[in-house]
Order: sequence, then structure tokens, then C-alpha cells
Amino acid sequence: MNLTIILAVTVVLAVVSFFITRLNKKAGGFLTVIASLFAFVGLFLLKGSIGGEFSIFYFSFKITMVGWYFALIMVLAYSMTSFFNPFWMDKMMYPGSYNFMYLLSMAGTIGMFFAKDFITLFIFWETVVWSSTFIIQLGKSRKASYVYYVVSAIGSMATLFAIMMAYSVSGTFVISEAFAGLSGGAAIAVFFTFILSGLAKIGIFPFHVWLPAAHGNAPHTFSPVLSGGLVKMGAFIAFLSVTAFPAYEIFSGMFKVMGTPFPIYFLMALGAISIIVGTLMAIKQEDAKKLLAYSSVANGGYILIGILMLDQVGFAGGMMHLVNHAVASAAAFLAIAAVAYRTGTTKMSEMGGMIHRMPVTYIVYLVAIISMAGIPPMGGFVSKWLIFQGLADKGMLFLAAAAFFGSIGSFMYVFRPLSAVFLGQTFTRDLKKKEVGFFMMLPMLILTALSILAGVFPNTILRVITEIQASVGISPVTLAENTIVTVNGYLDAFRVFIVFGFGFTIAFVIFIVRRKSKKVELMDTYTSAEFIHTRELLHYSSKFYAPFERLYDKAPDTMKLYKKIAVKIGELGNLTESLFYGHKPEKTVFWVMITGIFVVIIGGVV
Amino acid sequence: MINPVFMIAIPLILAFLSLVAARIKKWLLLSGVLINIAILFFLEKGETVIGGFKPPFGINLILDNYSMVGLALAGLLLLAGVVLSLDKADKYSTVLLTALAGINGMLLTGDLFNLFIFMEITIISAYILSTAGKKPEYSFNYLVIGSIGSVFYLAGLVVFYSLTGTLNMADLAAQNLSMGTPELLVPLFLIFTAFAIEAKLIPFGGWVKGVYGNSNRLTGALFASVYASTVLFVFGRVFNEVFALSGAVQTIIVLIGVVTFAFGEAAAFRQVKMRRILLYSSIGQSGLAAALFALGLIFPAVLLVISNAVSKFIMFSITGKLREIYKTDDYTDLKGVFFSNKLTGIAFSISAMSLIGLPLFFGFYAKLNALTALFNGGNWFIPAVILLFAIVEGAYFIRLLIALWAPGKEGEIADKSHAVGEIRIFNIKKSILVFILSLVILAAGLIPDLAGKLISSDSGFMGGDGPAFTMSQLKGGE
Amino acid sequence: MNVMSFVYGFLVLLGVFVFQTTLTGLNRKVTARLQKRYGARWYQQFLDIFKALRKDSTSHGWVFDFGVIMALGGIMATVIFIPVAGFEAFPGLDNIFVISYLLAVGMLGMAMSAAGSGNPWASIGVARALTNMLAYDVPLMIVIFTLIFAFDSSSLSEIAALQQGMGILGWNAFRMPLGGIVAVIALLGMLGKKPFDSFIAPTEIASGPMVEYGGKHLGFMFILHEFMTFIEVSIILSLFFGGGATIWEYMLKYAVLYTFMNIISGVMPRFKIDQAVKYFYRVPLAMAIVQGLVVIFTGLGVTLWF
Repeated sequence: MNLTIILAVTVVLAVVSFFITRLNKKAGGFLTVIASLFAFVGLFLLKGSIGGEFSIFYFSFKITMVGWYFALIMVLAYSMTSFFNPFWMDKMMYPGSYNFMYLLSMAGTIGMFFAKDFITLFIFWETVVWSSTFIIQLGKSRKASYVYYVVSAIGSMATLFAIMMAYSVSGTFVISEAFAGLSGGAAIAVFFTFILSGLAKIGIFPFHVWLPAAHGNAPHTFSPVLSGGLVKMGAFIAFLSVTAFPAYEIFSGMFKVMGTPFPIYFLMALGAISIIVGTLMAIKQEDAKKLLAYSSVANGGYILIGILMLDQVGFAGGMMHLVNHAVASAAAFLAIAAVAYRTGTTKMSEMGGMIHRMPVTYIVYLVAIISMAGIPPMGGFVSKWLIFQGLADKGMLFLAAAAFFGSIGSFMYVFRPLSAVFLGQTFTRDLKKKEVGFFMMLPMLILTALSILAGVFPNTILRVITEIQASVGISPVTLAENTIVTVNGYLDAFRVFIVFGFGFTIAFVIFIVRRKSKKVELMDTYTSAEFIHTRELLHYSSKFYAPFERLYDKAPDTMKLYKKIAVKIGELGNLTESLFYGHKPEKTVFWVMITGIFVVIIGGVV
Repeated sequence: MINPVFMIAIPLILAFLSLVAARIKKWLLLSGVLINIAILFFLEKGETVIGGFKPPFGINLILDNYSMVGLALAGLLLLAGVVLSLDKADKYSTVLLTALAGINGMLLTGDLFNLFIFMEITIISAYILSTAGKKPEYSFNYLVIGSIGSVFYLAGLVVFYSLTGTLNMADLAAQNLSMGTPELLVPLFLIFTAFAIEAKLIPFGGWVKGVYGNSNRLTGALFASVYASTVLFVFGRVFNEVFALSGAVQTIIVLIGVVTFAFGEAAAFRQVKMRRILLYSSIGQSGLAAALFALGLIFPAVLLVISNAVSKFIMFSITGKLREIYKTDDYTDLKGVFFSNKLTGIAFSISAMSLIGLPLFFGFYAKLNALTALFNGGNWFIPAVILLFAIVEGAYFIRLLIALWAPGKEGEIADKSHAVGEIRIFNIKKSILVFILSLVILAAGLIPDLAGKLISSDSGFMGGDGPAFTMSQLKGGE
Repeated sequence: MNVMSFVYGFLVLLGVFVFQTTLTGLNRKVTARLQKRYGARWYQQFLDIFKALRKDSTSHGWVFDFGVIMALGGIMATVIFIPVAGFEAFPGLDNIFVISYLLAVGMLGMAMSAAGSGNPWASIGVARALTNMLAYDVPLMIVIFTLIFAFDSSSLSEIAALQQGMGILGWNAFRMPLGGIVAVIALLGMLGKKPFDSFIAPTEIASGPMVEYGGKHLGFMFILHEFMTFIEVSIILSLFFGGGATIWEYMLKYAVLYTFMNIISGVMPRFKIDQAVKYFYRVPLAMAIVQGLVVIFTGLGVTLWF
């Protein structure tokens, strides 16, 4: 398969879907499914041509292993989510442009991962940013779209600055050569500005504000893409900023923390802060999608820490966590979208007991959160295990503390939607609701299967990662047949799965041989001799962790920082307006005179 | 080959005719702007001497690549403006024809004194056009401040004449005046002030808020595109070819430009009225272009001026019409207005995104060129400011676009029931015209190298200043 | 991995069940004596479990049943991984992270089942249990992290073996005293013993997660509790008290440690859940971090220092 064909077909189909949607909304939605599946299959077949270089127009591309890996994850999120598109067309204000932007942004991400030079990368990157901005505005909040754009813009402008600065030294935009010859203060400036767009996209503190806003309010069919896919673009920049930009070499003379140069450690520390902030904030959300958004912040922290380690074990963990989080988070968002499709809400206090109406969706969500929380036998466990092992090897105590906090805290927040949305009492309103149709169920089941497969046979993914590790010149993680070996221990995920199955079977047998239990109604519970007949009242869902939340309810809101900056810029604008652009000509005359005198003085001095 | 003097003469004759034959003045205006475009491509390149005396004693017109680009831009946008708002333009036929002559003269002339005359013609036409806003005090402000500029300019010329004995541009340039000397500083400042007032630079452009802020769809579009770009083109020529800036003077002018850019964007950020947003954005862009011109980075500056002029033309036209229909240009009252005007909306969005400098649009190419050129000159501070305030610029334009496209309460999905009105902004023909103009931005953004080549036509501007960055250099790996 | 491994695994399960249930019964007596009661017979715990398994039960839907099976299954799988006196049914799988996260499967199953009962008390109990977990686990994990860093191994049996043969002072509890104290406090939290038992608080939230259970479901929960106790005490025993060279040594140490926990618990009042969090994040967390820094930067404790 040829990348030119993939890009051309997706872009053309994007335009076609725009017009088809005008004729028939559903057909346009289905076209996105076809286009994204085509791209996925095409990318999958592209593996054979890794190493190839070519150009389309003035864009130059290079098929790399890491690009292939990222693109595949990205398009997986896009293609799976696209199955939902046809069913949401009626709810969209601009279905045509939604489909167009959906496919355009997908093409953008593909092009970005295969870019050979930074300008190509930047063009595709920004195309993704603006097209997704226009999708998010169709959701529940206009402000969300604005916040998303601004935070993205902070990142991309900084990165553009870094690219240009590097260019002024090396004279080239080619990714592999652009950072040559940098040193000293310029190197530090380029490093920090370059990675900024990555941090902004992953949602690293203090740029995480856009995730809850955008993930939480985007159309339900786009949140899975945002969290499962677009966030990973940032990870790619993070990857480039330790590989294409040889950060470990350039900063090797600097002050080191546990063997890691300080600038890199600083970013890892930001990752750790994101884990803590994401976890704490996720715990207190009342909206399922916002909760998952904050969980993406926390998981982004793991990914960043893993990738920045650039070593044998932790790096592999970070790279693998990309897949696991993409799959799990897309599945979780899709499950919530499926529930919202039936109930029309994502607020946890407005739902309950959906398991009795939508059992398949429940299973999908359950597997997703098990993976997200890093519990075996799902994929998320393996990648978190690798990150922990990597951190333990280097003795990075504080990062590890944050990682543990996030890991255990994730039990708390992932359980919340499970309990509030799916378990407990079914609301009277929802008693007649049905499971979603097969077409919507299909992508969720595929993602669920992938989560489990990644946990049982992690080496399939890790083998690709070893090739990436080899391509950037670090020693690859050691893999035996089913086993992952690290300095501190080894993991045989398949055997863990088998033993788990063994235990489960024993428990199941004991359960079956005992007398069959009597099925009772959900309302038939112990209520301390109270008579409660309202289902809604017998459901514990809002302020789930109230005693814990109370401990940090006075924590400052990062959004306030941005608002403050906005106010300051506004004040500068206000000042400009009142000083220079009034309706009084004498003001201008005054300034002309002042400037004149100033110039004369300067002239006298010079 | 046609003598460039017709570029000035024909509009003037037609303007005179329009006074006599008032009934057909609309058609005179139309034919004037059309002829202007038509003869543009058959003009005689090089220097044209008028009146028999050789320069530096006589009057000369200079048509090089640079003035050609300026003429084409101004002419095409004036044509588009007249076609788009013929009903409004009708009343100002004579003024517009005179303005056309003045603008062409400003761009063509090779003499600083003639420049003064043409500038006066142009500015006076602007005073008259500004009265369309029906706020006489703002026109009066403009008149007062504009007159100060004229006086300053003239005073500056006097000093230069007394020092050098010539006002011919080429002659002055040949004298290699050292701009560092205090005697020259004052006249230079006087001349700069005149341009700065017209280019709306801080702190000289006090008139602009009233005039732009009360413009209608014709005058707003013309002020922000035709007038603004012409002034900047002349600014670029005067401060590069005639007076080669250096040292403290250059620093001051660059500083003024950069400050204008930053402050202008900040001021635009806090506005809710669309015309105000656009006017402060114009101020900012103009400051940036002035800074680039002052640094001698002519090609990026020209790209910036062109990109800004086209975008602002489209946006001011649409805003003016919106204001006519809904009696307001507060975007919070115009939510979802593009829902029933998709074509117009797309044109507006493309213009805005090009202004921000998002890729796939022409503005991105302009921005990249500016950044590359600045970095090549060893300057990292100005790029940092540009990019920093590009965030601000993006913020307010995206906020505006979101509001105009997607109405709806916070917490509910965007819904057309919240959209303002279903009135068509432009009829179908005009929508298509605006849309095609925006497609030019898109097309030029998609094939920027070709556009760049078209603009600089191989030889570049004034001493071979060509593109600092081309897309094709990516392929070569350099 | 062969058939014998599964047979051994099954035997381990049986042995652990008998041992721990007996120990629980004995400790009921110990607690009773502390409170100046006579107390139940030592085999009362067995009677309770089998009685519950024999009785009729009610079910609140499939997740109520499924959660119970998943919980017991996950916990039993974890028990099989626990090395007892160097013996492992599945050698090499005693990675500390595997064990502590596999334990979470069981907990998640339990929480799921409890919340699936539709009783708000149960949900409140689960919320508290998870909060409690966040409180004790972070300091504990930091100490465990320190151990892994110090010994370059995350295998329970290896860490246990490294402490043997040097007498009582070779135990990590004495090599890294702060870590040892943290581990013991965390064990109290893990076991849900006072002062960290607010999630079952019978008088306040009607036994929390357990409120809806009866019959075989309750029987499952009892068994699960025995297994879970075994896992938790074993982890701390292996990591900090040298495990055991022989099975008898292991059982003896285990009994002492468990009874010690019980005695502490017997004389303690109860923390509110937010108090528990505050407590853990103040004292034990600080101690764990200090211990970690000492080990990482000075190496004290890795080599014997006295």
C-alpha cells in the first residue's frame, strides 16, 4: 500500500462525504466508516514499505516504524469511533462539515506521523488542530472549543518557534538533522519550546485544562477520538524531543537527578504532577466524560514519563501505554456515548443501573476501566508494570510515588461511573431502554477484545516497540516467548491470565454446585426499616467520595491562571485603547509631540 | 505598451466626467476600475519621464515589480469593492475615481513631492468616504490628525530639500545619506510621522477607531484593504529605497511597529464588536508589516500586506453587511448567523484563519517567510513576540468564528434554533464573489510557491529580495 | 507450567484456607479475652462459613453473582502466586506488582458485586474502602519501591530469601526500621482492622459493602476475606520479616504477626475515613519517603549497618 493513495483517498472522501451528507445524512456517516477503515487497512499494509521516502506536492514523507506505530493507533481510534457517526448525524448542527473535518483531521494525523521535515509536520499538525476545533464547537460547549484552540495554539506556536530557531542554526527542516549543532542556552530554549506542543496536546499540567473542557463537551462521537487518538499526537512530539533532539546527549553535561539530566527530569516531574492532578480532579467529577478526560490527563503523565525515560524498560512501558490507553479510553468513551445515546445524558447523578438495560456496554466499560486502572489481565497492567519497573530501576522515588498514587487513585475514579451509571438502581425513566444496536456494539467489542489481547499477549505489541527502540539506538526490552524480562523481575502475562482463569473456574464451580439463589428485585434491599419506593432516592451516585473530596476542595483551579492571563491581555488592550485610540484628536497630537521630543533627545544622545 | 501615466490620467478624466454626467457616474466608476485593471498588464516597465525634464529635475513614474504588485492589489480590491457594494459606491463615484488616481500615483511616483500631492488626493478622498459613517466628529478627527501628518511631511521635505537640493527618490537614495546624524533625524521623524498616522501605528493612529469603527461595508473594506495596503507599500519604498534605515532610527521604527502589533492584538482581544476586532487586528498587522519593512525584509512584508488586505476586505465587507441587516456588529448578538449563510461563512472563516496564519491558507506562508527572514537576520526576539501574539490573535478570531457558526447554550449541544435570523447576508451572486475571493487565499495557500513567484516575479523586489522560505526547499532537504 | 502446578495450586488454596480460618477462629478468642469475654470456640469460623454456604440466598441480578465469583477467583489466583517458605506453585510469578494488582481484581469484583446489590450502604462502604486503599497503599508502595531498588528484585521469594540466615536483625523491618513501621501500619489498613475499619462500620453503614449478602454469597465473602488476609499478611511477612525458611517457621511467624495486628486492633478506636487519609499522608508517607531517600542516597539498609 502506498501512503500517497491513503492520504489522497481520505482527503477526497472527506470532500465527497461533505456533499453526500447534504443529500443523505446517514450515508455521509457511513462514508466516514468506510474511509477510516480503508485508511486503517491501508496503514496496516504499509508496514512493508518502512524506510521509504517520497514526496507529495511539496510535502516530504518518510515511513518510519515509530510513525507507523503511532498512525496505526490513531487511525484505530478514528475507525472504531466512526461506527457511531451515522447514528449521531441528526443531532449535529453541521453534519456535512462534521464528516469533512473528521476525515480531514484523520488525514492530518496520518500525514503528521510520517512527515520527514518539520514544516510538513507542522502543516498537518495545525490542520488537525483547526479542524478538530470546529468539531468540538458542535458539542455541548463553545467555550470548550475556544479553550482547546488556545491551549493548542500556545503549544504549536512554541514549537514553530523551536523549529525556526533550530533551522537558523542547522539550516534544515529535516527532522533527523534539524537539531544538529545546537548547544548551550539555545539548546535549552529549543528543547522546552519544542516539547511545549507535545505537553499541551498530551494535557500535561498546566496545559491539562483543555481536556476536561474538550473531551467532556465534544460531540459524543468525537470524545473517543480526542482521548484515544489526538492526545497521542503530543506523545509523538515528546518522542521526537528525546530522539530527533538528542536531549540526553546535549544535556549530558548538566546537573543530573538520578542519572537523568535536569531539563528532562523537570518534564518528568510535570508528568508526575499531571498524574496527581488528573487523579484528584477525576475523583471529584460529576460528569462521566469529564471524569474520563481527567483520567486521560493522569494517563498522559505515565506516557510522558515513560517516553522521556528513553531506556530499555520504562520507554517500552510508555510506548505500550499509548496503545493500551488509546484502546481503553476509546472504549470507555464509546460506552459512555452508547449510554448517552439511550439516556441523553452523561451526568452520573442522572443515571443508574444501566447494566440491566445495556449489559454489553457494561462489559465493554468494565474491561476498559480494568485496563485503564492497570489491573491484570488487561493491557494497561503490562504497560504500567513496565513503567514501575523502569522507575524502580532508576530509583526515581518521587515520580514513582506519583505513579503509585495515580494507579491506586484510578481504582477510585474508574469505579465511580461503573457504580453510578451501570450499577445500583435503574431509574424509572430508563426502565424501558434498550441496548444499542449491533453496528454500534461492534467497535466496542473489538476494542474490548484488543484490551484483553494486549494483556494476555503483550509481546505482540512489545515486539514492534523493540524495533522502535532499536531504531533510536537504545537497547530493546528483553522478550522471551511469552515473557518480558527486566532487571528487577519478569512477567509472564499469559500465565497470569491462565492462573486467573484457574481461580475463576474454581470459584465458579463452587458457586454453581451450591443451591441456586432466589432472584429478588433491586428495590428489595435492607433500608434500616425505612420505606423507600423511589428508585432514584435509593441510588448513591453524587458526591461519591465526599469525605475524600473535602480534603482538597480548596485546591486552586488552573483555569484561573489562564483567565488571569486573559484578563491581563485584555487590560493591556484596554490601556492601548484608552491611551492611543480615543475619539479625541488632541490625544494623538500630544503623542506626536511626545514622540518627537523623545526622538530628538535620542538623536542628541546618539 | 501603455504609458503608466494613464493609470493616473484615466481615473482623473473619468472623475471629471462623473461630475458632468452624474446620471451615468456609476458606470463611469465601474469602467474606471475595470480599465485600471485591464491596462495594468500592458504597462511599460521601468522609468517614465513626464514633462520633458529629466530627473532629478523633472517628474518621473517608476513601474517595477514592487509597484506593480501594489497597483494590482489595490486595483483588484477596489474593483471587488465597487462590484460588491455598487449601491453604496454609486454616491461616491467621483471620490472613488479620484482616490484611484491618487493611489496609483502614490504607488507609481518617483518623487517625494509628487508623493505628497498624490497622498493628499488619496487622503482627502478618505476624509470624504469616512463621512459615510454619519459621525461627522470622527471625520473631523481624521481631518485634524491627517492634516498634521501632511504638515509634518511637508516640513520634512523642506528640510531634506534644503540639505540635499533634491526630492527625487533615486537621487536622494544615491546621496547615501547617513541616517545617524542628528540633523537628518528630525526630518526623517517628520516624514515617518506622516506615514505612521496613515498606517495607524501607535501612538499616531488615534483617528482610526472612529473611522474604521463606523465604516459601512464599502468604506470599511476599502479603508482596511486598499488604503492600508497602499500606504504600507509606499512606506516600504520610502524607508528602503529612499532612506536606508540603520542604527537607532531603525530600532525605534521597528520597536514602534512591534509594539503596535502586540498592543493592537491585545486591544482586539478584548472587543466584542466585530468592526472593532477587525480594526485593531488591522492596526496590529500594519504594525508588523511596518516593522518588517523597516528591517528591510520586503518580501515577507509584502506577503503580509497582501494576505491581510484580502482577508480584511472579505471580513469587513461581511461585517458591514451584517451591521446593515441586524443593526449591530456585536458578535454575541449574532450567534449562529452563518448557519443560513454557509458560503459567506466559509469565506469569512478562511479569511480569519489565513490571518491567524493557520496552514493551508496564504497567511501561513506569509508568516513562515517572515519568521525565516527574521531568524536569518539573527533576530529571535521579534519572532517570539509575533508568535506570542499570534496566540492572542488566534484566540479572538477563533472565538469569533465559533460564535458566528455554532449557537447554543453552554451545556447543550449546538443547535440551529438558537441561531440568529435566516436572512441571507449576500445574494447568491455576491456570496459567490466573496467565496471566490476567499478561495484565492486558499489556493494561494495550497500552492504558495507559485503565488510567491507570481508576486516577486523571479527578480524579487528592490535589489533582489525574494522569498526567504519556499515550500520547494523542503524537497531538496535544505 | 504443567498439570502438577495446578494441583499444587489447589493444595495451596486448601491449606491456606484451613490455616487462616483456624487462625481467625483463634484470634476471635484473643479479641474476646482482650474485651473480657469468653469468646467463641476456635472452629466457630469454619462453622460460620459452611453454614452460610448451605443456606438459601437471594441475588440482586447477574452482576451481583458475577462479581462474587470474579472476586473469589481473582483472590484465589493471587493466593496461588504467594510464595510460602520459598515454595511456589507457579515459580517465578511472585512479582510484587503482579500480586498487588491481581489482588485488585478481587477487590474490584467485590466492589462491583456490592454496588450491584442496589443498596446505597454498600456503595458508601465501597467508596470508603477504595479511599482507605488510596490512603494506605501509597506509603506502602513507596516502601516496596525502596526494597525493589535496594535489592534489584521484585520477587517476593527472592526478597524474603535475602533476609534469611542473618538472624533477626537481617529482617528488613530492622534494616529499614522506618519502612518496617510503615508496612505494619499499612497492614492494619489493608486488613481493615481498627483504626482503619470505617468501611465496614456495622453500626454506622450497616456493614458497608457486605450489607446485602446472605447464604452462599456471604459464605463466598467469608472465604474471600480469609484468603485476602492471608495475601496481605504474607506480603508484609515476606518483605519485612524474612518470610520463613521452613513451612513451620513461616506459619509461626505468620501467626505471631497476625495476632499482633489483631491485638493492636482490639484496643483501637476508629478513624473517620478522611482522618485515615490525613493520617496516612502525614506520618507514614513522610516516613516512607525518608526511608526511601536514605536507602537511595546512602545505601544504609541495603548492606547491614549494625
